[in-house]
Amino acid sequence: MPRTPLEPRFSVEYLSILDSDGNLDSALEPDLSATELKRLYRAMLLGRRLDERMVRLQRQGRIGTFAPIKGQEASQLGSVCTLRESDWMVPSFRETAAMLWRGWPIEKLLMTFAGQLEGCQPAPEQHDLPITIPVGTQLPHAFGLAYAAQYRGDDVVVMAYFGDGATSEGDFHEALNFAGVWHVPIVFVCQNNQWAISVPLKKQTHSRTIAQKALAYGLPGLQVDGNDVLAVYAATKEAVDRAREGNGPTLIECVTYRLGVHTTADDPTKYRSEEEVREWERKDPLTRFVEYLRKKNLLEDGLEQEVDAEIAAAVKRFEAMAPPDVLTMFDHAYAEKPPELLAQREEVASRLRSPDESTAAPEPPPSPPMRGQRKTSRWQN
Amino acid sequence: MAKLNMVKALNLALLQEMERDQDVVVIGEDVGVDGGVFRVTEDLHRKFGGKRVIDSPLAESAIIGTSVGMALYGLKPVCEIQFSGFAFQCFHQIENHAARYRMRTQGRFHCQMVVRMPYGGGVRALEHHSESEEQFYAHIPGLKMVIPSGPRNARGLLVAALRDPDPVIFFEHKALYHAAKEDVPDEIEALPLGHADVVREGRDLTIIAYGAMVRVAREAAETLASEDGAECEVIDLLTVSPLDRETIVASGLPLTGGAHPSRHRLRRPLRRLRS
Repeated sequence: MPRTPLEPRFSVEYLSILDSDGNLDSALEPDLSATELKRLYRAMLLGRRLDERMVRLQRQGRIGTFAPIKGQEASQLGSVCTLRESDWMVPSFRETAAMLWRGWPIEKLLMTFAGQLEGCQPAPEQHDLPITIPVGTQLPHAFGLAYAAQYRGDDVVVMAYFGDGATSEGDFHEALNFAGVWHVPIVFVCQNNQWAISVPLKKQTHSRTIAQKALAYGLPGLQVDGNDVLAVYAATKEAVDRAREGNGPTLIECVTYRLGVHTTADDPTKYRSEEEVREWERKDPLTRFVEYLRKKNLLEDGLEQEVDAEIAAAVKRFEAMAPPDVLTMFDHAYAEKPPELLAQREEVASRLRSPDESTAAPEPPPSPPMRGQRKTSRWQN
Repeated sequence: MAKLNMVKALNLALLQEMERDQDVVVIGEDVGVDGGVFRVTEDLHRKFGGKRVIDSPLAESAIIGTSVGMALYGLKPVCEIQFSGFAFQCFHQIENHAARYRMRTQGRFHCQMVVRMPYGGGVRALEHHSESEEQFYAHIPGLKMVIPSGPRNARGLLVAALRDPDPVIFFEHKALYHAAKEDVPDEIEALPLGHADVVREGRDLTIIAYGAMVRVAREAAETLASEDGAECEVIDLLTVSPLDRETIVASGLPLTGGAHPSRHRLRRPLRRLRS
């Protein structure tokens, strides 16, 4: 028998609407109102300015390690803005701009990166998971949320974020596979920023694209210019609508670039060239969107100052907060504290009440021998 | 009241809780049409359908990760890891997420879920089918670890685990599945977690055991009584974590005075007890 090609043939598309030189494909231009466009730009600017501020705050020792998003604003906001409040958003740890859009207060983001657990506490009505640090492990959670929503018959779409590095993790493949089998309302958004700390994409995968990995699981996969907020919006809107109509999951690969460090603990000059960074700076998602808005006469004066003032006020509130109470670390291990945990809490509380005493506390007297303990025991009591 | 072995008793717990609570869903490998390789989920697929008794793809990490997501949404998943020896492929989902979500989100989210795993040896199985890894889970804050020793307490503990707001690792000793039958009441019965059971009283020595070792410990106690005249107390832990220190200490040390002994008085006697 001869070898025969299998049907259907698979293909992966690439979508770009507004290129880095400001050229617009008006046939593909999404139908966004002036208000929506202005809101998107404000969010991108806030994302950028807060990002730069947080890097400075870390350098000054005012927050801890931070993972900047600079360069990825279009990927995050073009996608997250297609969700309704009742939908769910599942971030990794580099989605500051998307989280701001979803209503996370700036103070909470600052608290998160200052090591305070309250920063990861979503508001009661908020349908977002907090950041997930172990790479890719949030993707099965996103599938579980989508499955649960489908099980209950709720009108909910789940959007899950991750990076190019995560596509090497088993959890990425397992989540896509489960999503394909169960046909749940989920959109996987990969921010392919080219670098997983020091490892470039070509060492991460031999695939031509990340989008094509969807095909193996029977899902549509689409690659978009991740620095083109219009293209990201158009692609995700299509995917979110498809999910909402019961037509299953999609993988979207946003081709973007991490203009900054992996985290503030990283020195990218060790592994990538200045030229490469310069080249991507030319493709900055904000620059081209500003040009687009200028042509539409939608740029507002004083927006930068307004955004900076919002950030400054939040930083001030964050720094005025009382330090967290140490004893709260016992509060949420279990719904109800087991006796052992209560005893530990009491021990810490008493040491905090009288630190000097506790260091000099005499050893308690030895316990009496166990009832019925035989003298011939080989155990020395 | 019916005489049931542990498999049937566990199945009864799942069946009755699923009838009572729409949010309870079952997920795992071969748990649906096949009823699980040990038949603990038998007939549930037929009764509740494939959307509620989910035959998952073969991927332990996603079984637990999916359950975490479902629990965050408000469902109460019961996942089966086919053999505890395969659970290292989902250990990170259990430790990093199921156990920590309540803490991470300061109580905004929690994972009400039960992870059932057959464990233990003595059934002439091959490698990865005979392990006893309870020590890994027993030391993870945020998790509860339950190990029944017979049909009736297995049923009662599983019901309690399903209703517990915290994630519970539920180990079922394979050698006990068909070892004995016990009278199990027809009406739902929950055996509260966190309480050990003194299954034999004695003043000379205390043996602490759980799972399949409870029967061995009782036999040893009988032997000691008949050959040495020593009266052994035998404690069946039932909940390995959090540990019921009060029952253990009460067995080894006469407690006088206050009802709540201080941590020092608890810790020291525990060091002196040997199991």
